[in-house]
Amino acid sequence: MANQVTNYQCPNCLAGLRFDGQSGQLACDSCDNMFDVATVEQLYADNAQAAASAGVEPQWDISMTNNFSAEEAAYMRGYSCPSCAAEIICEYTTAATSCPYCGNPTVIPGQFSAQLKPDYIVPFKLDKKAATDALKQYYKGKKFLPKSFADTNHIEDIKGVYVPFWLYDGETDAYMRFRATKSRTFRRGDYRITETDHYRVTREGSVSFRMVPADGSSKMPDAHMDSIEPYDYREIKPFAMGYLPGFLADKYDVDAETCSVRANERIVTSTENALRSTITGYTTVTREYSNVNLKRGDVKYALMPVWLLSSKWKDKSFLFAMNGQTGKLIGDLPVDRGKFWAWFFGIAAPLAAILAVIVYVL
Amino acid sequence: MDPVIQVVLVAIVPILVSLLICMIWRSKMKTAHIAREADNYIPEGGFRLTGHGDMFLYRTTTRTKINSGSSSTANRSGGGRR
Repeated sequence: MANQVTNYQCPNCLAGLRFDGQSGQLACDSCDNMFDVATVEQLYADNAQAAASAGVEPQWDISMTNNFSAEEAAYMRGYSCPSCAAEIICEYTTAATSCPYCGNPTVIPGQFSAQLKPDYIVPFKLDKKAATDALKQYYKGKKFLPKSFADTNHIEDIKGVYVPFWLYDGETDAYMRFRATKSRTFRRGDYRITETDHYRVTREGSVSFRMVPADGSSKMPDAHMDSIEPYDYREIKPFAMGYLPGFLADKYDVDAETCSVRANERIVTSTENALRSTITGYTTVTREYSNVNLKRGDVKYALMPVWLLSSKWKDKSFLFAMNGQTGKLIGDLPVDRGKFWAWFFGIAAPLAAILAVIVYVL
Repeated sequence: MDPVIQVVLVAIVPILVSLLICMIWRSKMKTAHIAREADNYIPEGGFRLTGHGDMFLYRTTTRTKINSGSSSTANRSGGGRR
């Protein structure tokens, strides 16, 4: 009988395996498992392939298009806010009377400086009345909202703003490896027996992405913009000045390369989720390894419509945002602590009284 | 009824129920969240599964005596594709 020490590790306990001549299999003296030679060799071949195709940094094609022409620039005005440093632009027939981000009423007109012209625009579909009606409806039923917040006059300060976005196209190739188990429990005589089968599961695939957005304005909270997604890209248009009158627009101040970090993260997560969703029929699935390669794609600059209302309460700013195309809205609203505790005791006290009657009397 | 249970029912349960209701209402006041994925931007037919493998490795067996509760684990051999 020939025994041979190999340099393979046990898939179960990572101890060294030895070739057992009697059985013709690789044996682990630590956990007493036996493995086919072909199985272990396949495991190591998969590992080597995965290591060879380790991910490289994605390269986005951020070749810019054109700037506004001199004629177009002549029709634009710029404003700056001395309070939050926002820079707003608008078509010359529109006037900015207050800052849409911080509510400061004293924005300063300035020169419209030459800048990148957007590739695309999603025009406003919902008007100011739809936005104010939605906001009033949103305030209803918010039991902890301070009374002054729902003031009608302030709601009329809501503004339509085109927010700058970078839109990323790309494609990923991914390889993922998992450990999975299938368990079954049954009774045999006086014993309950649980059998657990252990599997190595691999998945490979490619995923295309089109126009993954990341907002290019440092003034606009990323969480707010993410929460009013998605925009319906069937209505996206090549940029034209004719969509601007009556609305403000923000200039981008976060470049495409910086914003691409967020877009990359979302793309990688979606790719991994897509592969993971193809694994079914197991009791447990645990990820062991993931490699996602992101291929070069185009980046476009676009303006997206948002209805914005900035409110102040107790020296804190709160921003309400509504998707100007779909109407999806989100709001970061203040909580009146007095109302919170009033409702807390208003629910707890009667409930305690009812339970006391049940426990002590009945 | 045990006095401890009475106190829990009359004092602790209303507090927990009221706190749960108030926290749910409070969560509706903060609706802005960072997006972690980009599923909405995968076009029709944009996902292609190009390879898959489900390789059986080994089986573990646990036996528990039903009356005494003692247990033992035996590992069976395994390996190969299923």
